[in-house]
Amino acid sequence: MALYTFSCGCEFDVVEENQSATEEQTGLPPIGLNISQRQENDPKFYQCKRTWDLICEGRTKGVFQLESNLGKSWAKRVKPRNIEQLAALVSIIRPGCLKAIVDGKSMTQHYVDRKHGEEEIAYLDDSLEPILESTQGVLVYQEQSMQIAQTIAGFDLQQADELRKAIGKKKADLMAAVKKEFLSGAKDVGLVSKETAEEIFSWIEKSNRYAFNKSHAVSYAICGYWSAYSKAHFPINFYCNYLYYSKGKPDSQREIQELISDAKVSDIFVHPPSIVKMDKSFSIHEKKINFGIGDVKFIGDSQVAKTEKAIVEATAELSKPPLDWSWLDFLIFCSSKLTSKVVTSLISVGSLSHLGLSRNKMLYEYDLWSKLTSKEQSWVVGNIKRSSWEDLKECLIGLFPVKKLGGGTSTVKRSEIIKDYIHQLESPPYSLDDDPEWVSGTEAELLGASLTYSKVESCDTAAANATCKEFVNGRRGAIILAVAIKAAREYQISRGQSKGQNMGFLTVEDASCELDNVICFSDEWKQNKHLLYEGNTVLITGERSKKKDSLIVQKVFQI
Amino acid sequence: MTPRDFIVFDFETGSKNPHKAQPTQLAAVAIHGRKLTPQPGGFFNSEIRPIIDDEKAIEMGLDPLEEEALQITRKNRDELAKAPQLKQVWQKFVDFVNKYNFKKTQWFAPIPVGYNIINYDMIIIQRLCKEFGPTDKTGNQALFNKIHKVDVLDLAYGWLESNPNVKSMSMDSMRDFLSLETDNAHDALQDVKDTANIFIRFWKHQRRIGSKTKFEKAFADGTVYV
Repeated sequence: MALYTFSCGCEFDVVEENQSATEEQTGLPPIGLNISQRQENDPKFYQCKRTWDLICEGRTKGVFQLESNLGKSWAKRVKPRNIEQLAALVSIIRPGCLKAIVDGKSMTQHYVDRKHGEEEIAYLDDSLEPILESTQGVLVYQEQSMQIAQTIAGFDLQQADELRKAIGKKKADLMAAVKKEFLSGAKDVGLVSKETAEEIFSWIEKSNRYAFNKSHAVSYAICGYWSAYSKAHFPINFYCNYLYYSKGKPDSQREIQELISDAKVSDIFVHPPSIVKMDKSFSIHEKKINFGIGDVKFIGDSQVAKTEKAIVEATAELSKPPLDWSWLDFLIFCSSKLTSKVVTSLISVGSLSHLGLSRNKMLYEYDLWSKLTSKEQSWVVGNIKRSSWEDLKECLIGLFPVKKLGGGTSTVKRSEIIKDYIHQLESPPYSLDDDPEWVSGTEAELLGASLTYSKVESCDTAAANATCKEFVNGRRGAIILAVAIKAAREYQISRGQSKGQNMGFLTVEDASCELDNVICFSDEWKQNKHLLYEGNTVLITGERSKKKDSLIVQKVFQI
Repeated sequence: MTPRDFIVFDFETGSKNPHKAQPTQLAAVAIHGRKLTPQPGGFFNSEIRPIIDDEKAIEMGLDPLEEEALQITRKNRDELAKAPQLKQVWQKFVDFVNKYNFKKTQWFAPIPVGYNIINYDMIIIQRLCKEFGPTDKTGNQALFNKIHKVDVLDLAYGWLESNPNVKSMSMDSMRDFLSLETDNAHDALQDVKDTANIFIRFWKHQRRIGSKTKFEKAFADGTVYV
């Protein structure tokens, strides 16, 4: 069996079947994707540089246990390079560990600083080193408490488990009994003094706020690694599948937006559904991910089936596939078979954009076409094949005379109305161009995300010197971004010099991607709050924060 | 409060009584509620075919076209006879306004703005909504915002009432006073642009002052005017 080798050295069996079709879709040959069967026992599998780089760079949207902002941010700081470290990362980003402040720092920060040599690793006793070495001297796991009790106090496994339960259940009487046992055991073993034994026990006691179960942590880490591995090697399939299952998420619209924005950073673009492809849900075509018709708001399963049927029928009537249809073909032979809501939704999200007309022009013409009576529409359908009509206006010019004059209208009144429609086609009362803001808003409403444009593209962005994607990819120095604000959250500062004042956290986007770590400190927030509201388009000047990968806002201008 | 977009609009009509006048042109411009800038592509303009036959117009309870009105608006009956009918134009205008109703409810519908709209254009809007829709359950117009409307005539009056250089509050006097060009005056689209400029000028000024004025608990000390 042939092998496909990625640049990182990872090898996959090539499945011979249907090779060219798969390569055309995803850019990869058809390779066995079942990671667990093929790779789980191969130590090389857990040493893939491409996968660890992805985790260390915080590109962990969709990676199990690390997909939140918290996960992304700490992944970048911890920089795990093996499953042990990944398990520790999964454990120390839990609330208990983040809130356990010792010497003015969270236990999470202690772990990070020690891992990167910025803080000395000190043990209460040398005998603890072998137990805590792998977690930089931080008591991360409950199993470590049990091991300490075994080493220091000579506990057997049952006693050690009782210690774990006593810590977990926080029962004072049980704790007192276990403590007595621990101190007595420590005296018998004689490895540490009574004072040190008390100190160690007190330390174990306090760890109940944050210590996590190691077996859980390692299982999570392995699952997380697998998902990161999939993302690193098969990103198009990864995003397509995550988008497909986004409907099951509590906030599916937010999930879709985040996945699409994250995909953009890797130059993977998600496109509107197309009547040419007619997929029901997310699918891959020519290395691109497409929404399905059924992913459009207002188009349910029954409407998808009706749309498919209408396209099949129109294909038969026209004797040509949808790819070869003109706008007039769709309008006359297909649109009447669908509900108005379906047609306007499909046009609005760009499902017919391959026809080369603006969405507003198609909506405008569809509106006029749908105002014709069914007899008038039938007359046009019956006559179009033996005429040379090339657009709706020519159809209406043929239709407007009354029947006895060779047209298709039944009364003079109807004839007059059709004449008005012709006039409105010649001189539309408003612009039928697609404004980026309108396209962006419509796609967001109907698909859950803006795909074709960002709202900011209708503004003057000439003063910007960077894009969100460039910032994500590490651009430094003075940053000027032209962005649309997707979310603005106000937060009251609870500590430090600015205690009691408000500051803002922003999520912004431009055409390149979304940026969800924009910080506006109290002075700047006070000055610019009136501009920093959801939906506004602004020019933000700022610079990268020193420790985190946030953009610190300095000035804001309306654009 | 969430800002709504504004639609500055103007009818040209064939006579002066808003209850019976026949619209001959309708123009509008959509203004971004926060930025106070025209929405991209946010212009509407269409001539409207009135009932040219005077007797028929009277029969239908409408005013016949008045020559004076046609002269002011620089229109003639032959040209108007080629324009689309009121109903078709109205439907397109409704589509246009609805584009700026971002939550698709009347509470978030755009705020109507115009010059002397309370006594004139809004009466025509009410009439046309009743005839062609949309209306609410009580029969009132449901096209524009349910609560707010801005008559630029009153807005300007508030700022200029004591200004000795303002001779009258007519649109022509306003143009003169504010140095707006008068070349295409009484063309609905030009009137709408002028009105939008006046509206934005005063509204921005008002916002600037409003943001610096503390109104909260203004009567807390018990001092009232009346």
